[in-house]
This record gives sequence, C-alpha cells and structure tokens, in this order.
Amino acid sequence: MTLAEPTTSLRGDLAVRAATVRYGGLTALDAFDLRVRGGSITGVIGPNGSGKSTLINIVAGITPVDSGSVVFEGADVTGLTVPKRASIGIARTFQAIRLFDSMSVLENVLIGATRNYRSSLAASVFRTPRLKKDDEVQRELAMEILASFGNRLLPRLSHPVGTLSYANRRRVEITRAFMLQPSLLLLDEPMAGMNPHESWELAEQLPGLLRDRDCSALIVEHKMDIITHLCSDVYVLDHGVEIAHGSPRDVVKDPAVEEAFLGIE
Amino acid sequence: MSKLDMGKAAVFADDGTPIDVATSPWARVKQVLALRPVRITLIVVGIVVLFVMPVIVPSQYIMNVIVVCLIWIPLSIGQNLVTGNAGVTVMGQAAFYAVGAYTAAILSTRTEIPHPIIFLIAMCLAGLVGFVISLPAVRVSGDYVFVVTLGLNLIVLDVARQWIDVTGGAAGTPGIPLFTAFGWVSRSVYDFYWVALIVAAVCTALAVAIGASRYGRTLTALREDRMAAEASGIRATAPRVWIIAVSAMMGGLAGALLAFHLGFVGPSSFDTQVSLLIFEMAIIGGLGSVRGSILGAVLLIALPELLRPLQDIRLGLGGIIIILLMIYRPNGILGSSSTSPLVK
Repeated sequence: MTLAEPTTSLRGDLAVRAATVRYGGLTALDAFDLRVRGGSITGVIGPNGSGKSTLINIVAGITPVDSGSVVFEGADVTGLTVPKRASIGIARTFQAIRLFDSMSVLENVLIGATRNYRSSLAASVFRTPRLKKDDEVQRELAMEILASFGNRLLPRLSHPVGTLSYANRRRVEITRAFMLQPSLLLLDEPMAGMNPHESWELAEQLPGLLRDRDCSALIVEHKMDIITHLCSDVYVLDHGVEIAHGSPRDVVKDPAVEEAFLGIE
Repeated sequence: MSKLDMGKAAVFADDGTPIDVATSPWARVKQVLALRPVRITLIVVGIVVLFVMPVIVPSQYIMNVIVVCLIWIPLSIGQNLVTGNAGVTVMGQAAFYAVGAYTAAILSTRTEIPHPIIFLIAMCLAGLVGFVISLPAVRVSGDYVFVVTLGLNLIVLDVARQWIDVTGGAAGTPGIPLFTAFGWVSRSVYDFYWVALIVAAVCTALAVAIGASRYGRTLTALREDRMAAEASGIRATAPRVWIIAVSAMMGGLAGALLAFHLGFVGPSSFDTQVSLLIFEMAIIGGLGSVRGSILGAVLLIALPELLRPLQDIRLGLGGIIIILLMIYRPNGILGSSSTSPLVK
C-alpha cells in the first residue's frame, strides 16, 4: 500500500510476453503480448476461435506455451503448475461453469479457500482447535463475498449447486475464485448464458468486488457494451494476433476491428 | 442477521430451515434429539445391540459369521474411501490385507512383540506399501492406479506363495497364538468379537470423520472436477496418495484381525478374487457411503455364509446384485443420490 513496500506496486500485475501456442498446425496465439496493470480491469475481445480462451489458459497454467513467457508480479511463472499459480494469487472462472455439483454452495465456495488454511488436511479430520479457528475465519470471508451478490446466494448456502440457476452458479464460481484472495482474477466469458439484466447486475458488482479485494482482472467477453463499461484497456484478438489495443472507445472505431467482427457475421 | 449469525446459519434442519446452534452441551443434545429422532434412536439401539451381541448370539457358528463380517468391514470401508470419496478405482485391496495378515502371522509366531503393537506394525506396513505404490501411479493418472494395484495384488500373492522361508509358501503360516493384550487373552470367538469390533469401529469412525471433513471435501472436489479443484489451489497428488495409504492401513488391520481370528494365514485368502469381492462390497453398498460399505460387507459375507448353497456363487451373486443395482439404483443401496456413479 505504501512506498515502504515497493513490491506491493506489482500486486496483480501480469505480463504475457510473445506467447505462442500451437495446436498441431493451428496457431492459437502468435507471439502475443499483453499487460494487465495492478488494480486494473483489462478486457480481451475477439471473434470465436481467436485465441481468447487459450490466453486465459496459458495464464492459469492449463495450456503450456510453445514459446514466450508469463510474468506475474515480476516473477516468471511460465513453468508453474495450475495449483501453484492459484496459490500465488491467480484465480479464474471457466467459460463453461465448473462447480462441484454434489456439494452445497458453501462447500463449493470453501474449496476456494484451500490455500488460506494454515491447518493441514489431516488436522481437518481430527478437528483440531486450530482448524476450528481457520474454519470460522474462512466462513466469515465466504459470507462477506457472498453478501456482495445481495440476497442471491445467502439464503441458499446449504443448497446443492446443481439446483441453482445458471446465473447463481456463475456467482458461486466467482465467489469461489475470490476465496483464493487472489491479486489477479481471470474471467473467461463470465456473462455467457446470462440474460441482459443479470449481465448488467454482475457488471455493476464486479468493479467494487475487485476494488475491495485489491485485485486486478483479465476479462474475456463477447458483449462489447459490458467490456466498455468495465475495462480501461482492451485488446482485440483475431487468429491469435493482436489487431488493436487501447481504450474501449478507440478500439471500437478501429477499422481492423470492424473488419474482423463484420467478417464473422 | 448479523455477520456472525450468518456464519453459523450453515446448520439446517432436514426441511432446509436454518437452525441456531444451541450453546450448552446438554441443550445441544436435546436439540439434536428433537431434530432427528429416528436417526438417534437407530444409532442408540445399534450401539446397545453391538454391546450385548456376545450375550444374545446363541451359537458359536453365528458369532463366527459376525466376526468375519467385522473383519471385512475395514476392507470395504477402505475400498470405498478410495473409489467412492476420491474416485480412484483401485483393485488390489487384498494385497494390503495380505501384508497385514502375514506381518501379524510372522511377528506373533517368531517374536514376543505385544499383540496390540503387532496390529500397529501391520497397519503401518500395509499403509507404507499403499503409499509407495500409489505415489507414482496417481501422478500419471487415476486409471493407471487400477492396473498398478491389481499388479501389486499378483506380486504379493506370488511372494506369499514362493518365499517359503518367511511365509510358509502354499502351506501358509500356522500356529498363530491367541490374541493377548494387557494380560487379557481372547480365548474364543466371543472374546475376539471385541477386538474385531474395536478395529471395525475405529475404521468406521475414521471414514466418517474423513468424509465430513475439509479433507473429504477436497477429495470430492478432485473427483468431480479435477481442473476446477486445481484452479482452486488444490494439488491433485498428495490428497489422493494419502487416502490410498489410509485405505491400505485399514486393509492391514483387517489382515491382522484375520491372522489372529484363524490362527493361520495362507495365500488363498488373498487371491485377486478377494480384491474383486471387496470392490463389489463398496459398489453394492453405495460409493461414498460408510453405512453402505458396512452393508456391502455384511451382505456379501453373511448372506452366503448363512444360506450355504449360495457360498460357491458368492462372486457371481455380487455381480448379479451389481447389475440389478446399476439398472435400478446406480449409486448403490445406500449411496447418496449426489455421489456420481462410477460410470458416468
């Protein structure tokens, strides 16, 4: 927060450098550069198959890069595993919502708190006092984040997530991601499948959530108006290459962007 | 609702209404009684029956059947922890059973080590074998564990048959003394019932505790969506290796029980068919259900024992039950509807 700790200025800072990913003969990302500055919300748009999800996956560690690097908060994380990246503060949601369907809302959310527990998994079986304290702290954190969605999830804590509406499932997924206490949140089309009302509700809530948790975000989205609302900085991807970059207002006027999007429709 | 209240509202009655948890222990007991009268009554009756069992069971033969059921319970529960809770298909529980049984047989016939300590050694040794075998296997992929554990079963069986100096080969190790602990000697199956009951109860309690814990939830998360679990910061290897080790420890305890119960250990008790039988117990009872594991063990052991003609077709009987279950109740007899079926 202060000048005394120079490292905190890098909190949530992400740099993707000349990242290339090939699937067989197809180049999903071609020497792509991207920067997410700490505390900012950066958007990525592009037609289907332009490499947006691949981008999220190389940052999360699911897809390895063929060349290039991923630098998080000043450290090269290119070789780190998915759980390792999660535990240093990179959280994510998935394009197709991925929850643990047999578990309740609260149980799903608490899975995201795994790295916050100081007591071991073995301690959880024998219910040590330290675990109870840990549990209490994490439940309170969960309540705090769940409360950000008003009364959408709070009355449904014990409901199995399989019974929830699509939008509520997404809210659970986002809460689970925030339970990691991340400094960077990757959102892969978070509004996909939501109606306009729900999309806007989420778009209104996200900036506050991110600010309160001192977290930056990289968001991939189709809905241009939402990107314009949320992001200060937007990258436009097509065939794995950046075709435009800048403020949302400038980007939509770019002729290359118009061509890429019109070409699809 | 204050913030603290919301945190505690995670306790719900069966109809879904939130409950304020009573603070004093006695009020808590009354509250639980009022909420779940049937369940509490059943548990109390069950515990009483377990305690008066040696008095009410008329024949030594039936007592024998009960003790054999108790010996199989740790095996079935261990299998279910790995296959049901963690979703890793293992097919070699008999290997750990064998390690425990031979450890108990050899130590009790050749050394003066106190018998309770022998149980602990048998448990740890089986657990160690489970740990070592699953470490490389789980890393590669879950399915690989199936092949590796089946292979382990065959190896252990071969060692038991061939390493005659130590195991007695096909003739086995006879002459295992009566179980003795702190001056008390288990002179009959009525006495040994208590030993088997304690072991089965400890394994049951441990399995219930694991299932209800954060560790249990971690295993469920890995089973249901490994990618989402890993993206939530869960490492996929360690929790699954440990659960295989725990299940192997239970197998080791069952083996030690078998050794002291029979007074003899031979390789035929640890055939791959035995692993298959244990696998069937877990499936039939219900994946992820501790009560189911117990029921599965009792069904596949006691039924064929009591209905003698069924004995020779025990495995086939299990197979028929499984096929019927897969059609009518894919989650097993007591499997929770939320547990994902083995075959998705």
